[in-house]
Amino acid sequence: MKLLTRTTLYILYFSILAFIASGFIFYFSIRTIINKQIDASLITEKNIIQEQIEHTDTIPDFKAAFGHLIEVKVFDKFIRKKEILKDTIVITENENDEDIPYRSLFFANNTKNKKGYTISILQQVSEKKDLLEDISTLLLILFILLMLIFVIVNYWISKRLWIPFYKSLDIIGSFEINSSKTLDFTKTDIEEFNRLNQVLEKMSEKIRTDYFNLKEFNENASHEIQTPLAVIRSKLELLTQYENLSLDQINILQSVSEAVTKLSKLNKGLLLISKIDNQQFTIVEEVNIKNLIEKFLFDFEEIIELKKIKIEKEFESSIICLLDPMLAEILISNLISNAVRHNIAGGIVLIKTFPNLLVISNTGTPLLVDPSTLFNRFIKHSSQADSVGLGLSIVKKIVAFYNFKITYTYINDNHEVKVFF
Amino acid sequence: MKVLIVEDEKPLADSISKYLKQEGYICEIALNFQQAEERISENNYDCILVDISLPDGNGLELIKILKSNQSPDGVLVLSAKNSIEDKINGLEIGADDYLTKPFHLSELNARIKSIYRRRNLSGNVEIKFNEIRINTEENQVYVNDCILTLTRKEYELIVFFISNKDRVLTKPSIVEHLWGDSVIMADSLEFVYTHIKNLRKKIIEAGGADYIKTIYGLGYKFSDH
Repeated sequence: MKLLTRTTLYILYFSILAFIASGFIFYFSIRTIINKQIDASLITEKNIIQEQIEHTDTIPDFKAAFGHLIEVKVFDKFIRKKEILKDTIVITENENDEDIPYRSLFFANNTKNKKGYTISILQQVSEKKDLLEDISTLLLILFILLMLIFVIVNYWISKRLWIPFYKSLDIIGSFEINSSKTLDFTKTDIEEFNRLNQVLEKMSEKIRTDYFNLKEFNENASHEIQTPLAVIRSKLELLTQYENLSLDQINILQSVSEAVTKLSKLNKGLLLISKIDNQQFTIVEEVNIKNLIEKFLFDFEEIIELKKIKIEKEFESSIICLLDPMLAEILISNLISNAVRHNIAGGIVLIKTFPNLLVISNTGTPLLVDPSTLFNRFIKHSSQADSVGLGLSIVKKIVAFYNFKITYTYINDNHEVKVFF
Repeated sequence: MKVLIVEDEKPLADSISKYLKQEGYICEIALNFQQAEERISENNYDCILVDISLPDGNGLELIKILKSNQSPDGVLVLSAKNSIEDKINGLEIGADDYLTKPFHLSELNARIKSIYRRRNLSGNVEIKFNEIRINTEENQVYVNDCILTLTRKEYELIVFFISNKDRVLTKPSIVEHLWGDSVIMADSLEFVYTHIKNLRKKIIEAGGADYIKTIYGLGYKFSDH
């Protein structure tokens, strides 16, 4: 959700509450004001009538104004004085009509001649509903107007005020860990953004130096490990050349050289994984997956023949995708060699291609490990001696690196790996 | 053949030197950039093995110097750095081949010979071993002047064998030579056996002698004694 939308929504929520509350206050204060005015006019009317009765002893003869009801009664006895102002309702006779609200003044007094009289004046007030409606409409118009102004102002602010922020965002977005180009933030006159830029600058520098250190470490580690390995291997090879080696010596030589081979493969595999992790593969080319499959099937041709494996190809469409050609080769060769290697003698490898989908399935015995751990490091699903258990985890890394997807299923004695490009 | 080994790891340089001397090569060792620079300015070599990371310089610089002097020396880059950039850079500035450590000495030897053959195209492009003759231009093998029909891998295998004649070739080194080190396959070891059996049969059928000896527990040797 955009910042603009979010702030607008918050303002909307709170202003609705504020408008409802102010609606109530408005309503009651208007009611009070109106009542006061009506009361004042009722008292004025009463005063006129009272004056006439007390001075002339006659009941004035006049017609009540519209919406007014006046009733004057005269008694021959002394009555108690009273003056009551209140809301009242006049019940209409017609059932369909609504009851009409009135403000009433009841006044009782005595003339000098000891005659009691009462005056009751009623004035119709506008109905509550009408008042409420008026106020609501008014508030709604106000509300819409305010929101409109707010959105426009907010839009304008976010356009103007947030310019440096969006600039920084673009700069950070184009940040490439591989290049040595430093991030160049322009100075703004807003302190917060300047601080943000400073932090981003520092952080990116730190990330970059860390990355280069790590890369250097990787290369150094590779160098440091590969060189002694090369020494060991070369010495072993020289040793192999000696004639008249005893059987015991030969056996020792053999297991040492096996271990060295395994160690060097392991080192290469782990380095490859960390190189992928460090995003050190930046070459992107159009790679034809179908051609790669054909290439590796050709490379493994003899092994496939030896195991009497039948290759079935269903190429519905060619898959062209953008990735590092070396990683593409590793990906495809690992998948195919897995399908061949974990196959049974006389088994089948079925390779199918669809637009952006590669399916490789092979016959084979069920996994000995939990399928969900299949792509983890050092998970070996067979006891094959030269397997270092990195093949599929390298596959997984490559797949993740390019945001592809890979799934594994085992159905009807078939291992099936799907790669969605 | 004269070979200069530029390698800062003395034990490794010694191993290489020892292996190549058995081939009858003249080997010189330079343990750092400075030594190497002196050597190449004074002498010409048929092949120079250059380690990229030297204590006092980058091996790639050495290749640049060689190439700027239009030296005819063949160059093979040895690198422990598993980085593709090194490989690409090395080949771009004129190295003939590239080998990642740890390598098999037999592989190194085969590569050096291949560089030598390619660099001396004007001369003899044939490898001879008694009645066997290999034309590396046409990728053809002749036994007693009759063409031997070989598969691609069998051809690579016989060239590898003859390049390392009288040497014990271990099965892993043969596997790596034929399939590269990216292929990790247990089956490929037993598979070497099938290839060798076929190759041996074809040579014998064409009237050649049985040169491929099995060395128990270690591998194979191509030898006439």
